[in-house]
Amino acid sequence: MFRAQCDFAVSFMGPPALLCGLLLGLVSSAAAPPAAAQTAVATNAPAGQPLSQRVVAYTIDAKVDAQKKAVDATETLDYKNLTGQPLDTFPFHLYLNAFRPQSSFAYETHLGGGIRGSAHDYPKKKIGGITISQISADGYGDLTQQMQFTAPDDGNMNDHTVMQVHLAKPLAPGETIHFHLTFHDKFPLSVARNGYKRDFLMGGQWFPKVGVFWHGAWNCHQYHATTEFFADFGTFDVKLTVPNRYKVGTSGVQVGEQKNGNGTKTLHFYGEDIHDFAWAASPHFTNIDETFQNSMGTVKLHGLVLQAHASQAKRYMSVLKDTMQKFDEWYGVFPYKQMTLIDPEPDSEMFGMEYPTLITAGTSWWMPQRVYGLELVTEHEFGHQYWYGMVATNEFEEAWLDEGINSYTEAKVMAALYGNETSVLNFPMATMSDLETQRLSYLGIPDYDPMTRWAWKFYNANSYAAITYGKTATVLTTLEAVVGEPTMQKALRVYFERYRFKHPTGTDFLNTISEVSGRNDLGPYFQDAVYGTKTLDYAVVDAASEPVKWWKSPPKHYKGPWRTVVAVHRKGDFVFPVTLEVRFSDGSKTREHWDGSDRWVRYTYVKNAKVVSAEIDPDHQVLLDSNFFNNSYVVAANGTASWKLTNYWMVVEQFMAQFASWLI
Amino acid sequence: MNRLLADRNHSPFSTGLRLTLANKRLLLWVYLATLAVGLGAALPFHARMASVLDHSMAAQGIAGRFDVSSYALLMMNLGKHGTSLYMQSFAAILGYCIVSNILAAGIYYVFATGDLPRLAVVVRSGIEYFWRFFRLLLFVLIMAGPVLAILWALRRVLLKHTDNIYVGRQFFFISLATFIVFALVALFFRLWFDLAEASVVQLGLDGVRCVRRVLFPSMRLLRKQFVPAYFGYFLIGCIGWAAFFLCLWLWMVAIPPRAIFPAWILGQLATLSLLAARIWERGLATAVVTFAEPTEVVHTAIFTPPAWQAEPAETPSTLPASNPSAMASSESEETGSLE
Repeated sequence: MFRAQCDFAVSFMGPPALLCGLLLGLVSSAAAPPAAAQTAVATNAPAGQPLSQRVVAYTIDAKVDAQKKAVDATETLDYKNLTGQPLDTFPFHLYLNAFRPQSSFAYETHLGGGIRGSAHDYPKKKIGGITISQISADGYGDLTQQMQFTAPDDGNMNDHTVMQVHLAKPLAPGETIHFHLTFHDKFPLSVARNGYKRDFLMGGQWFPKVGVFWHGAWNCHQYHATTEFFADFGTFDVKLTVPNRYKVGTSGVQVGEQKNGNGTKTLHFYGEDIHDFAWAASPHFTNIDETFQNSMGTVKLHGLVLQAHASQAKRYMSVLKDTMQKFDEWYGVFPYKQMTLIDPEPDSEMFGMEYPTLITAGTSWWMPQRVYGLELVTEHEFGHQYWYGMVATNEFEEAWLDEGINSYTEAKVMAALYGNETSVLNFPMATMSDLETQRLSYLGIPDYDPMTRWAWKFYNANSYAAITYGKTATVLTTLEAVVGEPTMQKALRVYFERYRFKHPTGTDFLNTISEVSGRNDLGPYFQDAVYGTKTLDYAVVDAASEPVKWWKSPPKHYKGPWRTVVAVHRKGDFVFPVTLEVRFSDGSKTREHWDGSDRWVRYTYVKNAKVVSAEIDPDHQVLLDSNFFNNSYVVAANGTASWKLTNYWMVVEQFMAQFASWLI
Repeated sequence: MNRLLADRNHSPFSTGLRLTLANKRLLLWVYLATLAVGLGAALPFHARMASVLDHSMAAQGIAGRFDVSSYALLMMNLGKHGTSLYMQSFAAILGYCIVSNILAAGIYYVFATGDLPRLAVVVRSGIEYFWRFFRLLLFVLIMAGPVLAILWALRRVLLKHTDNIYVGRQFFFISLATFIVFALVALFFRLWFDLAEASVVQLGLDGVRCVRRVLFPSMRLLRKQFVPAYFGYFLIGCIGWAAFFLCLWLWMVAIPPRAIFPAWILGQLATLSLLAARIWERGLATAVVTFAEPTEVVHTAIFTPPAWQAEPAETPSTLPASNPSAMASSESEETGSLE
């Protein structure tokens, strides 16, 4: 650990940064005994301890050509073999090569209507790529000729998003290999959160990144239309040379800046205990900096907001702070020294993306105060600092663990900040809640894929989004109703604290919930909800009262006794215990608990009161139920809602008719 | 001729308004047609909604505040029924367009003749002119379609170019400005078409079934009368839209969510305001066409017929000389029916 710090100091520090490092060292030594003196540049770790098992250390020196939208860079990768077994092959992700018509990514998006929704032909401007001109390793010599593209997922050898090199002799356990690469990036016109838009540049997945040796094998999937990323924790020491007029936001923290005298400047950044490094650059950024205090120290909130959206800057920072507060309170502490928020170029595909300690959000200049779009995306992307950034699950294989859990916590935080019913829209005439939006998304295509399906194997992108985001949020909210909100919150906290800076699996997550809740009976629920595709729908199909002596005509003011029959039908295949509440005309009510094992159940009551209403799930906890409208039956009809909608429909119809007649 | 059109001391704008106010029943007929279309689409919709909502507690999410997710889920649950409702609505709109075409001709007829705006008059005259209006529509579509398509394509090219330079508010205003230009050109074509319709009815009163030959004279007329015609037309449109949005705004801010009837009244007032503006626009078009006619042209004989051919003294003719109706009228006298 200490050795790693020395390596770090020697390998990346230029004179200004060295000074910075010395100062940090002085501060550190003043605060801690000499024996424990360590420097944490980018985290608030106690005594500068590494927070993660640092497998990789990247040192990148990149020159950005803002005109050509290209990057020329050298990269040094120090990979420490902590796998416990010798390694003779190293695969690398070359994500930028996805932006070519031959790639699996392009083919998969084409199936969905073109590259991220555009026309069938592949637009020339959307072509991007990464080329490695040279790769070598200390003690292994030049490996350039060893490079070969592989396609572990679909066999598409033209994909080129994964490259591997074979070593003549294996890297022994515990040893470190030092790779040296020279590469060239060509950025595409913005696609899938990468590339450029106007003079805005986004370095999302821009450098050769080694795969993860996980569960006894290399895990290095191709880049797919619906997949994201998976990587080992480590350090990133990055120098970016950009034109002077550009402002740059990156993962990690800035540790140096040098003017080059030729109209460019070299900015020096350092990140630690992170598994990716992204950057964004624009000449139109405005700095909005604030701070957030938590139990580990001060976090700098570094906002880079476009001048065109300057009016929205306060909203960005406000929701970012509030979200950090909620996460700190509910799930755990944010350990990094800086959180960077990027406001991306309008009309680009950079909107809403997470990278370690850097997020892109997105807004428009006219975003109304009562539409929480900006807040929603900012909250969501920050949430990924926990569910992806620190709890680094495999986004290729178990996307629900990052996007899904994050959607669940997003709904919780948004509801806490903006109201349960109004966390997306809050107009007097119309409201919308985030949780309902998640559920709506799920119900759009609920039964094609289980949550646990590998991301690129979903039926289509809609199913991926519906299940990974919407269903997971809905499943976890329903689970919360089963185990209780405090227990669920505690379970997530334990999960976070136990698995931060690690690569847990879905089983780890579910086991944590079972363990914390003390419930050993959740297996069937997990089986149907998480691993299965069954849908849940209960309906009240009968609720009526008649005189007990039904064969006699009741007198005019007959008061009873009445026999009331209420029947409930389980329409879906998903079996889930539910509560039925029956209300009577004398104000009394009764609750029944049905395990749902049969297809239907009938309850009969004899009382001196008639049934008024019957409702399944009266506390509105089973969000997985696909149709709330059939969950209840009120004997006395109330036409307010139907007439209200009819009125809307009528006015719209009349307007459309008039508009059409005006046109012709 | 309508006596209101005989008074040329007023502008087409105010004459159009006077024509509209003097024929309020026209608004009633048009509104009833719109109401019929609205009800035709709304009642099947209501039947479907009532079967789902009237006995459901979940309907409260819609009855009180309007929860967008609840509404979306409701539509989702309608499934195939939802599709058939959309198709019914679409069919009702098509039906309205046909009825509207009939009513438009009836409106011009009543405006031009000063006849009482009885429904029978409006419908009878509307049916009489229906195919002429339909053909006119085809001609105008052939001419306006390419122009508007090219303009739209130019707009897209311009915006694409601009998009590389301007963002945010600036781009929005550029986009809005180009859209307004497009809308103003579309408005020009709409006015031209209205003038042509008014001319067709005027000629029809003289027994001339002329369609194609009114198009370019109408364009010339529009060019000559551009300021009073176009700006009056534009102003009427603005008044109509302002009233429409005022009603919707009142609906949003002043009507409680569960107050169905007041909301319905405001919705219908919004509809009425657009309809009234449209009738006013037709009144303006009629006035522009009529005012273009000279008040009276006396034709003198260019030679004296022999005594044995001489007939009793003629009353002075009132043939129009320098307006679209006049040209087509003269042609028709020579050749009979031109179209």
